[in-house]
Amino acid sequence: MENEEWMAIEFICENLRIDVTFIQDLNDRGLIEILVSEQRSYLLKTQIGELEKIIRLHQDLEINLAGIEVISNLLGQITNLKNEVLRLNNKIHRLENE
Amino acid sequence: MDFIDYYKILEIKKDASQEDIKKAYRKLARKFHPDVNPNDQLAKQKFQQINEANEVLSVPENRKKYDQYGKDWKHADQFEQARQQKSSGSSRKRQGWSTGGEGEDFSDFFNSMFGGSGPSGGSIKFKGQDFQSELRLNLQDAYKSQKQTLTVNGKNIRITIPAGVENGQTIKIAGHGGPGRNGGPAGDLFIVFSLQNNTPFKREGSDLFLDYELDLYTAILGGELIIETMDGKIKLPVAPETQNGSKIKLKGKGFPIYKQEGKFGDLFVTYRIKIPTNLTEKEKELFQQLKSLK
Repeated sequence: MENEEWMAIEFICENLRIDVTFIQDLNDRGLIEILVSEQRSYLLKTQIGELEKIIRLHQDLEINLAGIEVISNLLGQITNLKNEVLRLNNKIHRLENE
Repeated sequence: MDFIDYYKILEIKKDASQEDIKKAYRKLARKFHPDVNPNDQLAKQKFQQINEANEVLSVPENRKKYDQYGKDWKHADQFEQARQQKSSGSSRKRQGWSTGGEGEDFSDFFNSMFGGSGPSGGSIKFKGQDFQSELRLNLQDAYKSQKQTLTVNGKNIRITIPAGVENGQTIKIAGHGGPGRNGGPAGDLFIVFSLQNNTPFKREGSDLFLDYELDLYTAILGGELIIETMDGKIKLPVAPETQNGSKIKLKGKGFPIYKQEGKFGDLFVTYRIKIPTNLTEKEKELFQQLKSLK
């Protein structure tokens, strides 16, 4: 199962020095998405950056998981708003050149 | 290099206790941490200053050194003393917690005082500096996913640019920024796309807009057109009595939707009816006849 896209949770936990239950909590809250196959859990490699960010927020800033959930949602909203600003700027640019 | 008032940065008094310093650092770090201020260079600089201030003030020995020589650090003798004191320095671990995030080089002031590394003798891991770069693409190039090789600091990086990328959009290439300090991870490379439109189309998200000059006779009588889309030529029926400014929508003939392979926006064609010029006498006569029929 472990391949170019997926990485075993045990391996990640060992390298990032975190407990498996922490990953499970994140999965339960929808902050990351783990895949269970043949009784082993895996995480998409593209989600490792997000996981590292969550660990930093948790360990460095001592933010609990509920707080991280709120932050993630707000950051998602900020990203959407930034994209909307970008889209509107491009629209203004298009209309100005008409 | 300018004197940096670490107390001011942490918004504390000179006689602040270690607990006050810890609280102030925690409060400001939460506010300016790069993970909660993505792509915000000001927040990043502020976070760096806060970290630096904490590195000095949270270690009593370094704080004492800073308090003693802070304002007069430019005096060479005292400065050298500070350096010598550092070399015999403290092996004490830094108080507080790991900096993580996107810390980068210390300020010149810090380097002068402590010889270019953290006060705890290099035990703190710092993520490397993030790099930002602009990549210019033609709109036509952004129509299909493509691989490009970029040279960053002498290293070749092969990246895939997904079809449908927007003008001004930023993508992050993790780990291709500056090297980390003391075994910390490398920074990230942020690429901002600047799209040059070399096509007759105007773009808005995944939709494309095209003004098409339609001859008067086809507009009145109807007919067929061949239109060039981003994806090649298509045949298009024109309804009789098509009005100037009327629009048609060609579903799925627009721009690719970013990171949704096989999905496309729409193409909107606006007809601009072209009135014939340089009419012959015969043509004028025929138009007069038409006019008299009305």
